[in-house]
Amino acid sequence: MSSPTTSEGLLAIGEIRTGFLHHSTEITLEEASDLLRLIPGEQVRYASRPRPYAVSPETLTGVDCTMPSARGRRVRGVGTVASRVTLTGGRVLQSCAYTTLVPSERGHRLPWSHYLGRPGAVEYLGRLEPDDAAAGFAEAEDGARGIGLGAIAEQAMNGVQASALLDGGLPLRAPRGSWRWAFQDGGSLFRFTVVPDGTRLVRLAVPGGRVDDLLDLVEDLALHDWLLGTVETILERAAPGSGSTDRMLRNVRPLIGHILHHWMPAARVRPELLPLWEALDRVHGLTRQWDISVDRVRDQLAVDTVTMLVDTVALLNDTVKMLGQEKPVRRRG
Amino acid sequence: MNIPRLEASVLTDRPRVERVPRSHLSLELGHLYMEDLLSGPDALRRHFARIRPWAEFVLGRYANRRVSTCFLVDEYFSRIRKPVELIPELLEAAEREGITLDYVARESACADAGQVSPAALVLERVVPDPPPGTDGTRPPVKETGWLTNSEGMAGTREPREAMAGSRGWSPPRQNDARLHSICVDVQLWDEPDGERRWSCAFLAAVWQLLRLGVLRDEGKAIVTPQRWPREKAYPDEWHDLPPVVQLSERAHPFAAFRTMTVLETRFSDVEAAVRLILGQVAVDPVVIGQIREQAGREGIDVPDELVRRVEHVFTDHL
Repeated sequence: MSSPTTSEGLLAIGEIRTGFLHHSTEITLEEASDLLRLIPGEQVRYASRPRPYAVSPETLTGVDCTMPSARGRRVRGVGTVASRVTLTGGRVLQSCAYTTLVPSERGHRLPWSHYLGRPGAVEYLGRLEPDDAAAGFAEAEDGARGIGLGAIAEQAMNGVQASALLDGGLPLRAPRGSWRWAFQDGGSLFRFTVVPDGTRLVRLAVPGGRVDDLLDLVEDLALHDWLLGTVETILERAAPGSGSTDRMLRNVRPLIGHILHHWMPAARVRPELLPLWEALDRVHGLTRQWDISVDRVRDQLAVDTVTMLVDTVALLNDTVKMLGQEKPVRRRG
Repeated sequence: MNIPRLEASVLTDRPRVERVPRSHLSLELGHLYMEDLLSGPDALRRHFARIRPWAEFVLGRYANRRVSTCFLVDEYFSRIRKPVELIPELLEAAEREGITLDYVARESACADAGQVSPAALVLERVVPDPPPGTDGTRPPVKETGWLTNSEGMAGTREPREAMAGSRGWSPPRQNDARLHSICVDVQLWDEPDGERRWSCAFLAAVWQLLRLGVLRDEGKAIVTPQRWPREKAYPDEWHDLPPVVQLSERAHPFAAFRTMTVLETRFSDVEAAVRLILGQVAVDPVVIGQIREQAGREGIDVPDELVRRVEHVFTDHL
């Protein structure tokens, strides 16, 4: 897919969904290439380091609908939405649907072949204010979004989850992560909002960033935010410190087996965007919260192990005592 | 000690996509249905005699540029003539009229080229023309075997609306209509005996894409012309013939930046359908990038829109 820079396109918008692959084990890169071949004949890209990562070819969906607006303006746009699915660590599935909004040169709808000649762009017919559109899409909880990028991302994800290559098993239950973002060229803005249903809204403005690279960055943020959220949900469920050791272990063990090793911040972010990742992380506190949660898991496990050991030792002592008491009985027999 | 600035990056591998050599133009020297070919060598000679001035005109316009000529044998729907008889007849008729025929292809190869079905690959690359109001929330209409440029035509009407037919008529509307509509529905395939049978229009669209050299399977070109030595006899069965046979030794490449097809007007409906289909196909962006780069190097202009790389001339004064 051609990757316009934001300066060419003024504004790029997209939605990301994150969740576990519906399969009971981690899958290999080879299996991932079969799974993510959304268009037969096209190739899946992958990298095996620093951790297995596979990206599907991009599919296109045609749209002709109203563009987002915070102020309820109704501007029509025609073009295509690109979507792709990625698999990280053979386990975490993400789907992303996105497009770049560009002004139409004509002011009326053109033959469809025109739009297929500029894949991944929606041309708006009329006056669109990028700030208003970005805010309508990725700032207001109830802004008029118009374009169903979330639905397209969900369809892409559901399509993969329904694959006959998967056994439908889940290592542990975790809610699907949902991000909605808007990139603008120029200026300097990072506005992060969490709405009551848990959806994350991000408005980002940086000069001259490439949409592909910014997409990798936001996908990576969404991945780590989701990992953190999953760990927190499970810790809550496990109620460490108050529940039984058994329940705690039952809940926490899958975290160690399936989640903790996926944490690898900024692993696929371009070096020039690393300072941005770090700045976002400082504000958002992902790494800080992660460290606290992981420490909590480890501390709790340590405490529980010690408790278990103490209990075992006590049990052993009791047994030895009992045996000691039993000896005379046996002698008598 | 100064610590150097450390940089490390891990990139996903780029897809490896085969490049194909390209002519500037692929010129198709008319088309005949299988039943037209029953009339024998005279009919073929008449065909080439009438097409010759057009071919000369085009070759003149493309002087000093690479042009390859081709002819598609319609043997998908019926196979009344055998290659062993027909191809020598074709060659002789063209030669007698002073026309160089560089490549002969068989239409069935557009459906099945051995390892891969080009038609099935193209079907997966169709991105349907969305009617106004399409915002992506409704999943795309499951493949019905039809493609349209309009709303209220085949496959686009909601069941609820279809049943409301008795309550009055509402006209279809072309998706990109300005004032008035020209609504077209094109059937891509049917399954008469449970087996898929591609439509003539769809195979003709695939044929154009093969000539444009834009189809790949896992990065590999799916049709590579094979040289057929002059002295070697042609087979009895069409499927024993390669999908595209190179007939002349010094032919320019089969694939081209643009195609031109000279046809009788009776084919205009089929070709209108071909253009509608080509307007709704998105090919591998890596291939598009390669062509742009190749064209840039040669200093020629290639339109972004695939369908605009495909030209037709309709005339009965062949």
